[in-house]
Amino acid sequence: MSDALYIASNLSFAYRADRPVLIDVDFSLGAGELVALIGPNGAGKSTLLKLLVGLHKPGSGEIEFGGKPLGDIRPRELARRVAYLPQEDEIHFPFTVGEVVMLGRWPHSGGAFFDSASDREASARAMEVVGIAEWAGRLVTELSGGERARVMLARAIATEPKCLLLDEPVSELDLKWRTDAYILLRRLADSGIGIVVAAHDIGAISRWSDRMALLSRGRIVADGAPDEVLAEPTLKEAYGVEVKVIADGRDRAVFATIRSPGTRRAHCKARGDCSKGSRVTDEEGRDA
Amino acid sequence: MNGTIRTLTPGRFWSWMAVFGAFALVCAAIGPMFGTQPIDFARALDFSIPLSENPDRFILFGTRLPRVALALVTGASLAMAGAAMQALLRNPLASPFTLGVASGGTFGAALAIYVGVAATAFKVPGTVLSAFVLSLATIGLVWALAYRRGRLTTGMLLLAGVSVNFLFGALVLLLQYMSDFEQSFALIRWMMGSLDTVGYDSFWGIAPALVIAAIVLFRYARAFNLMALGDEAAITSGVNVRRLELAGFVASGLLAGAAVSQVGPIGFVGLMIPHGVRMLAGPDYRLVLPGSMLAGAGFLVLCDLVSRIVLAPAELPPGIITAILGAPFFLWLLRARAREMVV
Repeated sequence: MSDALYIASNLSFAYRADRPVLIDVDFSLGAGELVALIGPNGAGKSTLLKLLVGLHKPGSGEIEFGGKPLGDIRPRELARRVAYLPQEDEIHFPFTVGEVVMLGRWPHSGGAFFDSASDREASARAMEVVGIAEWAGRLVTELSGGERARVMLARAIATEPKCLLLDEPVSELDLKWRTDAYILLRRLADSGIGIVVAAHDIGAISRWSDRMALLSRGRIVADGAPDEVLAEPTLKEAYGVEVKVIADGRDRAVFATIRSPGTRRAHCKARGDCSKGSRVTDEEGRDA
Repeated sequence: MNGTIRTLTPGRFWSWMAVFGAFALVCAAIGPMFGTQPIDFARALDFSIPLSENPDRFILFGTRLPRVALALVTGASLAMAGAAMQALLRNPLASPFTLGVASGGTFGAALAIYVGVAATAFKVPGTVLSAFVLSLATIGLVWALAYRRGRLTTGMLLLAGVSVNFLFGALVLLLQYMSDFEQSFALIRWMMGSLDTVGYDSFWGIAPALVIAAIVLFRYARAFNLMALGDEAAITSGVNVRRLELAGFVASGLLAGAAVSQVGPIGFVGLMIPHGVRMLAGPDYRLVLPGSMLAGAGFLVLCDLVSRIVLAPAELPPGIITAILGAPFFLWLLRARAREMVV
């Protein structure tokens, strides 16, 4: 791949020596590519993104960005090219939505004290494409979780990066906004930006992804076109639950098929011996 | 709700600086006009009369102006330190004293009073030197406790600060318990804070710290905004968070330590003024830091003025006035503009 943004090879990482989080991970991202990073909770999706953006140093292995070792790129230079959206958004003090989006321009500020006209224009454009232009004066502390997620997405886009690393950016968005966000990400990818999205709604995002990478217990167990990765046996192995994939054209629905959990609960309720186990499987059934 | 992005242009910045600056100037101008003893300003400014025969001139230039100058730099220091601490700890309840500076300084002063160190080198009073050293040592101690794996974690800092506060609070009580009546009284007066001063020694004890800290903090003001998004967002935006924290904590610790050692632990200014500025000008630290400096300067002069005239000829300790005057005003602001306060 000549226009590769990221090439990571043999990555291993552990927060604690006795519990490896990533084991021998190979991962790449090309310009204009939208890659969905999927896998069960705790598989290492967020950690992989943090390694890519330089928040953690890999225990072993190498990461190159734009042909250079990640460690050789100055933080601010990397920040101009790679915008990262953490899973948990955090905002203290009542900034307006416009001010938060403007914060995405910091890597470009070059130490200037005042906001420049180009900062404002880029932020306005970002708010426009995310569809929140009219929110500029609202206080970010008064927004709902889903609204805040869109503001944070606009902040990342305002940076005008070459690469977006998004950790579950849509988990708080409703059906329409989620779809809007995916369409937007697809458009950004088509304009040449490389995008990695960690996501749990694997069916919906598969439609928009060029590639999907499935992480399970710290290893990439599948990496390829959505149709290859979303194979029922592969998903069952990774998620530890029976999975059904239904395709309708380019749309796919993925859900866990626990044998009629509702009936099971009704039964155990009737008998009055609902064990912990039956409740857990029930929730997993809904979660997937 | 409107569609224009609020940006910080030079025009908006200087307008707010003019507002807060005007407040500080007006306070500084009114400050010297009143006092426990009425003076004749025409006579005070008549330089043909020798100083020894002109008590009016001595009161104006020897005590009132130095006192206003001291109140200005103290208020500026405490308010700016408070704004920086709130940014660094990402906590609206943070104040310059959150990490134990005041209790460490008080312990230092108590130690000097108990041991009886009156004056040290360069005529620096023993309480001042001891309080300054101990307040800085306290910050160092709290950092050392909170520093883990190359990072200062906010939760650890707060817990360490609160614990150290309790520790020094107890040590101060212990010293007070062992003190005689005179020492105990001196300590209590010290803890109430005092802007009473003759000459500019105290002023010069704070002013250099204020200048240095202001330069450092203003330089980082834009990066402080990113801290509001959390460590990870700030780091991945290219902010050198470790350097920012170090510079910010050193600067605010220096400010608080200098102020506490010279005038005692005057509370509330450092907590309230940054919030007041935020409510008026918004949370952008490029406005909050210099705005707090100016507003805090004016506010403490105002409080000091009230403390001198309300029970004249007796004087109230300024720490009592800042809270009695400030708290109701602050609560009123809080109720009236709760939206902007949501943090």
